[in-house]
Amino acid sequence: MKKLRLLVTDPKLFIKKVLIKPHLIKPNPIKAHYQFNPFERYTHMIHTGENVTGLSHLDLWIPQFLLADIDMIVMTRNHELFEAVKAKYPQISILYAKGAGEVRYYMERLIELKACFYPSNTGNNLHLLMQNQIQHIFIGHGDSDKTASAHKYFRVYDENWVAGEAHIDRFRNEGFDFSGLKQVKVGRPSLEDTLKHSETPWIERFEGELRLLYLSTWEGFFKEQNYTSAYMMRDFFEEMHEKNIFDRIDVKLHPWIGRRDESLLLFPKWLTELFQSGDTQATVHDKGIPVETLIKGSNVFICDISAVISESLAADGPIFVYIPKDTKIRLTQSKMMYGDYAYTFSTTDELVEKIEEVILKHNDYLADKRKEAMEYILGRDETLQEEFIKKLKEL
Amino acid sequence: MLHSADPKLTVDHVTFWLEHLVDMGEPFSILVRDMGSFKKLTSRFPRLQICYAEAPVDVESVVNAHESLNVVLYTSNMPKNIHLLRFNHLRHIFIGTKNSDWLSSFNKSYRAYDEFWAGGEFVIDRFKEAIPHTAHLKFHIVGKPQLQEIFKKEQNSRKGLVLLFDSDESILYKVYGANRFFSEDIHILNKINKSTENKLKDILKVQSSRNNISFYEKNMIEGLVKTASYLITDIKNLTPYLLAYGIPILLYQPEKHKIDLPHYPEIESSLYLWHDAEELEAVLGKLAEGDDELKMIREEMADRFFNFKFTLNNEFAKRILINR
Repeated sequence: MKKLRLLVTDPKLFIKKVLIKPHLIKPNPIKAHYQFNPFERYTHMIHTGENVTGLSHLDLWIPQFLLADIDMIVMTRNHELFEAVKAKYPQISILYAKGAGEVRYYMERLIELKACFYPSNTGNNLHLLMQNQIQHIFIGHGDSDKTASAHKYFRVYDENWVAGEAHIDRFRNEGFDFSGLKQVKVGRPSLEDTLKHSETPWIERFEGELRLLYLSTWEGFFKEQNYTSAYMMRDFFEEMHEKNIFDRIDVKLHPWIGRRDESLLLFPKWLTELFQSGDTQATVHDKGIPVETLIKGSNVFICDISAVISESLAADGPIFVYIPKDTKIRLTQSKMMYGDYAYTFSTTDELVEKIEEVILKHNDYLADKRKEAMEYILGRDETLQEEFIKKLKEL
Repeated sequence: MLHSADPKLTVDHVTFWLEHLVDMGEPFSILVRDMGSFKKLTSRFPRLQICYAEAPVDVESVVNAHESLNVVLYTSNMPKNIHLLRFNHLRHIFIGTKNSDWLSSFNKSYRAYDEFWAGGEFVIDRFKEAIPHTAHLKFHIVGKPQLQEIFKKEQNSRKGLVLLFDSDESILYKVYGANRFFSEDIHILNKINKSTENKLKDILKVQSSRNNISFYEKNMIEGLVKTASYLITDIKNLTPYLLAYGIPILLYQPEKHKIDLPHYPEIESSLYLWHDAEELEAVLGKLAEGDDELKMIREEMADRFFNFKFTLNNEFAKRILINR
């Protein structure tokens, strides 16, 4: 009846939607595999229930699994992501399973599987969690103290592999019983290079150059969750442009910036135009560029509240963190607050004042606390001792 | 808040619990996750507070709008439950539905809940066998409030047998044959088409039956078992729920000495098994003489599934009030 009504009311649309479109669109398969041999002894699986944005999570872990030289396989639940993983990591075995039935199909063929690793919490993790015979281990995708990082759902896993003690404290401080969840410290293997690099004091890196990296977050689904500094950074960058403090400025905005407030979409263009004149080499990078690449090339950091603070911590240079004034910030608590190891600010004036104190007057008074935070939050020792790879091999 | 996220079964699951939530007298909301269920429920129950949330951000809006919310009851273990389970300030309680105690495949994902409310010991044992390490998860037996009226019924003045079967018509003839000496009324619960029903009636008339045979829809079972003496069924229709009715259950075995009850093998000991009219006649004969040797086992088994005491004492409602 619907199609008949459409034919009568809008024949052109009928032809397009009913007659032409179905033949042009190839339906997505419900399962697919790449380099999968059911006679191979796959013992470790990474499962991601994300769409194509999940590739950034896998980028953190696949290299580590490869370094561990174990029999691994990746399962995706999104066909676009399956294709993206295939293109980027042609040497590994990959599965795509759309629904619970397809997951069961592959699990019946993965008879040697010992453990499934989860980089994020998605509802469709449930289809794997139904497999009682294997270990379920949450590995995450970057340290974060947002409320998404320590909640009751984590209790479904057998183990939670965390960077450092800070994340375990976040669970403790949330006040619920997670006694069945084994917390295992493994450090941040993807930051190993950055940590080694940071052994040179920040002021001596890059032959004395000051290289600022600005990492923003996005404006959030709701006004109450708006932690971005993007609105106030215009004044700051104008001042930096005048004063010429930094030899280099790199900017990486959150991939979702401008998603709710379209005015923020103009920010990258405005910044690029501002720095076209002047001596400071300034670049607004593509949103997709890995943060680690930029962090290694910088020694001063301005961050919004997000996982990038921990990433920047690995570089052991002064970090300036934006704390919005009139927004209730919902964070899980560990023993170290931002203000303990980072220079916090809520206005442009505060930021400029602290930049002048810390950078120009060489008074990095939080340097020691920063070192303490590197161990507490990132698990510096575990990272440098490659604890993650050791744990993978122990399974 | 009652949360239900199974698009095919949400209406059934909500309806299963609704009366008992309303009877509590405490304000509550219902949260569903598909528009179809939302429309059906709001149309059927226009005075209830029913919310629909599609995405995690919508669930967050619903939670924020319920300032005094502190308990969420889950009817099923679905992927979308994660959107609510991340709220640490809420108490998350799995209550299941009519058949979930024996049909659910218990797995590690159930550890997300704070509490698991069981009909009886049976499901807790099943759960712990599947998942030995449950640490924080608190188990509470609450019975099945839906069975309160059935458990209160009188046991006297019963007559007639209820026949609940599917597809295999030969069972009907065997029952008919066995019943010829007992002349019990036969209430047949089977959705068969009218022509087959008429054909069967005609055949049975030709057999010079003195029995009264009538056909009903399956959902009328509770009304019929209240006064029936026996329940005859096949494996396809056998569920532990039949134990709740408190009358002898006579299970038809298509092949002698072979029975497979994967979800609840232990109830076999509470069933009278029969294969042909002769065996059925022998069982009916003993029961007619008052020799119901499986009565105690049957009651013990029913108690294991549904816990008479907690059901009759309104344990479900009491637990809700403790948690509010």
